[in-house]
Amino acid sequence: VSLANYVRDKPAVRIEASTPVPDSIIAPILWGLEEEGMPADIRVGRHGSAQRLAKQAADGSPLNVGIGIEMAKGSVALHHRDLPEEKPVTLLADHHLDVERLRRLGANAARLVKGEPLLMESGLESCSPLSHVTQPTDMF
Amino acid sequence: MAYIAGVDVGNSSTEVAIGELDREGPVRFVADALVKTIGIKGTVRNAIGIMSALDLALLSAGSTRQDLAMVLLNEATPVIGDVAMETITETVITESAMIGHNPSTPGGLGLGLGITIGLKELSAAPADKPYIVIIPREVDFQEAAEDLNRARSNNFDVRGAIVQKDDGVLIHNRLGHPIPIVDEVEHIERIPLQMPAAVEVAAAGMSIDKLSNPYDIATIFCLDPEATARVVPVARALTGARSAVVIKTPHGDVRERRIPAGTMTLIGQNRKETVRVDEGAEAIMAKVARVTPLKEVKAEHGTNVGGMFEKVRKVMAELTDQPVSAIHVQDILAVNTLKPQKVLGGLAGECSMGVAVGLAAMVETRKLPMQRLARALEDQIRIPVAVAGVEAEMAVRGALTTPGTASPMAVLDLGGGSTDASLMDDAGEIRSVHLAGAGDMVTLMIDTELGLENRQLAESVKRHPLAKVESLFHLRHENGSVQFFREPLDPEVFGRVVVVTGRGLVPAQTREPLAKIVAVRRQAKQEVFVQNAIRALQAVAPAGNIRLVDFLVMVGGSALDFEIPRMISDALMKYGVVTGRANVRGVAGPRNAVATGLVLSHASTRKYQSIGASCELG
Repeated sequence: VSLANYVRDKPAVRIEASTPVPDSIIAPILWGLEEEGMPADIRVGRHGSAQRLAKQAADGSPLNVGIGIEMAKGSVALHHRDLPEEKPVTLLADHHLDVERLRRLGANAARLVKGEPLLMESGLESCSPLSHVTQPTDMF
Repeated sequence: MAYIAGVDVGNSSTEVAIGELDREGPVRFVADALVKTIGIKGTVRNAIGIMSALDLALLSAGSTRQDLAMVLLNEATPVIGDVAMETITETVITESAMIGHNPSTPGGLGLGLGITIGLKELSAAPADKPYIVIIPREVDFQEAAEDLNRARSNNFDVRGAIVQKDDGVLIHNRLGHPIPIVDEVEHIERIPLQMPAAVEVAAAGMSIDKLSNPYDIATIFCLDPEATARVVPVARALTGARSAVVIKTPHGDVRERRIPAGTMTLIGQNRKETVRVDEGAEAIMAKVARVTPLKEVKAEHGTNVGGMFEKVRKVMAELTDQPVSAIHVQDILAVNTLKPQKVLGGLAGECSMGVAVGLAAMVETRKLPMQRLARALEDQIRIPVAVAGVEAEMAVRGALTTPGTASPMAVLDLGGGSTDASLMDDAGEIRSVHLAGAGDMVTLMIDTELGLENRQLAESVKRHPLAKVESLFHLRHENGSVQFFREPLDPEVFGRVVVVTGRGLVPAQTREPLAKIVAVRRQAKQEVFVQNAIRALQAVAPAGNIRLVDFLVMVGGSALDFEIPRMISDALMKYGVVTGRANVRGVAGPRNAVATGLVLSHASTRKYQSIGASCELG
């Protein structure tokens, strides 16, 4: 990898798709990123599951965050470079691909970069706090 | 061989100590236990908690109730505390409505002035006026941007927009001509139409400049001096916001409401003082000190403080099954605090921080019916039950088993409902005092000041340190240290301030930054516990002089707190008192003092020797 590669890759959330993606899927994701002020870098051609594409996109993104779209199965995944491939931040299966969810996925990709709280489906504020206890396992 | 159980029923926890008494030799403690108190202290329902605590302790000693020769209950002090928070200042707003909030991503920049109008009504409106356009949820951002661009080309003068969805940046990016846009306004339908309005958006990292200054608001809306004074709460509520809207509404649209804070009369043994609540906590506490010992408090009817005392008395009367007239306020603790108040005229639930006084009251009730509880317990477990020993005395006896202590020693019991102090002098004489205000008050202050409206979460914030989740794999604790995790953290806590509890990470559901939450928590603990520690020691110390106390041990649940003992130690350092957390019997920490004292006291009356504490070395 030459230095030129680093210089050429703009800081952006990378989006990888196996085949060209219809506007109805890609546009809401880009709106979510745009509202959060985050640039995107779309690449088409690699093959694999949404999770694998997302992981590859995250690994290749200078911001460590990637989105993978597998049109054949109609699934979309959000990934971070530090996460193992089988554990994406979000995985939307085909029946979940509505505008709201796709836009939220785009916004969360940006928030993941910015270190800001993610937007949750239910609206976290309305829930009882103890139902959201996270038990971290395996600390160093 | 016989097992004797000491039982201490407190406001929040029930503790048991089990000691073995031989015919000769010292008491040998074999087990202890702690459970949550069931029912109000002194009522028959306590028996359920006592039995489970006994069984728990006996189980860990490898025995059963059959080995138990006797159960000793403490003569609990008949005091119960309650807390309330009352506002001194009632926020009033007239003739303006406002929106002020921090959407993560508003659109555009700067200040826009115009008349409020719905997006769809714009084309039919006269084109000679400046407008602030309102865009409801139903309108897609692309459609909104197209409409605004078309209006612009038709010579409409649009100066700003108010948007219901999180679309501010998206709309702004599609406009040929930039305007400030405030988005994520939940109750957009409440915005009055055809009214003069100002929209302001600050750059990232900045906060609004004009709408947080009353004179700039006066300049924008041509307000007279009287009206300017009335927009001060609006300006204050908007201070620090990234974006804001102020709308001038016709006279009388938003009504003014004032409830006086009221006065209270403190009746002491020898003196009487009247104090106005809006003079603040210091003034109230100065007068409390002047009338000490306090015998009763009378508060003005129809005022905030009157309502508060009525509530406290009513609750106490119900709990203790006595007439309201029999409830006397024996001590109060007043603290200054801030209380977020819904701003009248706010369209997005805005709050301004009103000055408030938190009051904890302690009422003396008739002697608690401990004998009745003892009989009920005896019927259940078929073991002799006796009420033995005064709580304060038992606490000192138990606390004296802490290695390194000697009389004259003071015991500071930091509980949930009250802060108690007792002192045993060289002659073995014991003086004690019960003061209003303890852990529950700290919880209330945290809950109120952070606007959590969730007592359980406030309790959690009080008990545990905070951290900020900085990535999927690490968080930064409030002391700056970083902790990494092998497994990714839940995306739900990503980027959030969390409470680090023993059970895991709990999101602190507030938008306040970590430093603010820490400051509020520490301030509440300082105000309540440090102030009460000094008040209590002055009340029991020889000649009221804290310097004459050699040793002070802290017991009770709040002595286990991760920062309260340190705060009290710091405050008492200048008096030269050896201050620390008790370690009852060298093993139990600040817990179990009264239960231990009961067993020791029983042993000494039977001419048994009591043991010293166990030390780990030497």
